[in-house]
Amino acid sequence: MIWIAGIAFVVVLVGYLWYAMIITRRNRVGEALGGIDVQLNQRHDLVPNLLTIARRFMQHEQELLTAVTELRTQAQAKRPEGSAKNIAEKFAAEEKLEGALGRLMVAVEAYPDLQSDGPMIEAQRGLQEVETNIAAARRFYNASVGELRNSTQIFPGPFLARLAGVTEEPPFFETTAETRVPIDASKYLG
Amino acid sequence: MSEPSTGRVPEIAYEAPAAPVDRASLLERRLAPILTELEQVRGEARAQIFSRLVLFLPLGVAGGFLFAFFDQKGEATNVGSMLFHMGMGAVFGWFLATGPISSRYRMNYKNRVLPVLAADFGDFTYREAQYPDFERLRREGILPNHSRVACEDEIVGRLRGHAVSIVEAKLSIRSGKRTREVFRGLIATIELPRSVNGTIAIVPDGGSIGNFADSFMRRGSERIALEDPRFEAVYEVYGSDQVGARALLTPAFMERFLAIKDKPGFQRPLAFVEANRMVFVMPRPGQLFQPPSWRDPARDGAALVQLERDIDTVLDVVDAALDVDRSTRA
Repeated sequence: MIWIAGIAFVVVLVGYLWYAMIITRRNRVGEALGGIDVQLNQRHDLVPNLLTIARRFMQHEQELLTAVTELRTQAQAKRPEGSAKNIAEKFAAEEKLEGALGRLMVAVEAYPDLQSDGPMIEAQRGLQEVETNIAAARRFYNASVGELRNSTQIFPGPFLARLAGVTEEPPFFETTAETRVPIDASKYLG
Repeated sequence: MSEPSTGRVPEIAYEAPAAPVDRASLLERRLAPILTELEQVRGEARAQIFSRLVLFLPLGVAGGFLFAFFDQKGEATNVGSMLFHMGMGAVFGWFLATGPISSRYRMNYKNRVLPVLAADFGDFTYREAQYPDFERLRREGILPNHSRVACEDEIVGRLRGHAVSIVEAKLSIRSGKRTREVFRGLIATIELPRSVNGTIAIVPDGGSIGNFADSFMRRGSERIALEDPRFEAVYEVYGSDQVGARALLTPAFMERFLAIKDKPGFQRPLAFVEANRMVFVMPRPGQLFQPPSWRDPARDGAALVQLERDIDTVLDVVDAALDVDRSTRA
C-alpha cells in the first residue's frame, strides 16, 4: 500500500514539475517575442531618419524609398497576439522590410557624397547595432521555442501541454527562401 | 585617427621585433646606459648580501644545531639528524640574508628595463601590478577559490585603439598547514568600443550536475544556451541579459574564442564581460618576466631577449582576444 502511495506521489510530483516547466517555457517564448519587438521598434524608429537623409541625395531612387516607407508601415501594423500564424506573418513582414533596407544600403554605395555624409554614417552605425540586437533577440527566441517544443513533445509533454494552455507550437524564426540563395558575385563584379 | 569613408577602422597590429639572431647584442647596446647602472646596483646588492651572509649563515647553522640538541636531549646523539637541522638552518639563514635584497634588485631591474622593451611594441609600458577585482572574478566562477594572491607584473597601453592591461597572477589556497597553487597565468582587461547590456561570464562546463548546482548558486544571472555544440561542450555561459549576451556571443565569437586555447603554452581561456570591459583569464604554467638573478651579470642579452619574448607572448594573447571582439562587429 505504501509502495503504491509512494509511486503515485512521485508520478504526481514529476507531472507537476513538468507542467510548471511547460508554463515557464511558454512564458519565456512570450518574453523572447517581446524582446524581438523592442528591437524591431528601434529599427522602425530609425527608418524615417534614414530616409530623410537619403532623400537629400538619392532623387532617382524614389521607388525604393517609397517601398521602404510602405514596408515599414506594414511591419508596424498591429496583429492579434498568441497565434503561430500571426507570429509567422509578423516575421515575414519584417523580413521584407529588412530586405528593402538592405537594398537601400547597397544603393547608398553608389552615392559617394551620401556615403561620406556624417549623419548618414551615424545612422548606418545605429542601424547596424540594432540589426545585431535583432539577430541576438531572434536567437534567444529560437532557443526558447526549442526548449518549449522539447518539453511539449517529449512524453508526458503532449498530455500536459493542453493543461498548460499550449495548444499550438510557435514557429521558429527562419529566413525566407530568397535570402538563402547563394550570392552570385558576378552580378556585383560586372 | 580619422576613419575612411567605408567606416572601417584600418588594422594596425603591433610589429613583432626583428629575428633574434643578433637581437641579444642589439638589446644590450640599446639598453647599455641602463644596464651599466643596474650592474652597479647589482654590485652593491652583492656586497650587502655577502655581509648579511657572514651574519645569518652562522646564525642559521647555530640555530639548527641548538634545535637538534634540545630535540635530542636525553637521547643518544643522532649525527645525521643534527647535520640535517644544521643544513636547514643554513638554508633558512641564506634566504634571510638574500631574500629582501634579491627581491629589491629584481623589481629594480624590471622597473628599469621592461618599460623600454614594452615601448618597442607600441603604446605600452610596464609597471608593478595593480590588482584586478579578484573577488568579483571568483564570485563569477572565472577564477577558482583562493586565499592568497600574488601579482608582480603588469603591461598597460593601447592596442588597436583599445586600452589594455595584462597582469601576471598567481593564486593559492591554504588548506590546513599546506598551501596549494590553484591558478597561474594572465589576466587581461580590455576596453571594448561599446557597452554590453548586463554581465556575461564564460566559465568551464561542469557537467550536468556541476552546471545544475552552479545555476542555483548564481544570483541575478541565468544560463545562456548557445547554438555551437563545440562551444557548449567546453563552456557554460551565464548572463543577466539573454539578448545582450547573444549580441556579443555570435557564432564567429565562439569559434575564435575556442581557437585561443590553441595558443602555445596557454590553457583554456575564460572571460567576464561587464559594461565596456572584457576580462580574459588565460591559465599558463611557468613564470613570465623573470630578470637575471643578482648572481648573474645585468648585461645579459639572452635574458633581455627572453623578456622581450614574454612581452610578445602576452600581447599576442590580447591581439587574439581583440580579434574575438572584432568578429562580433565584422
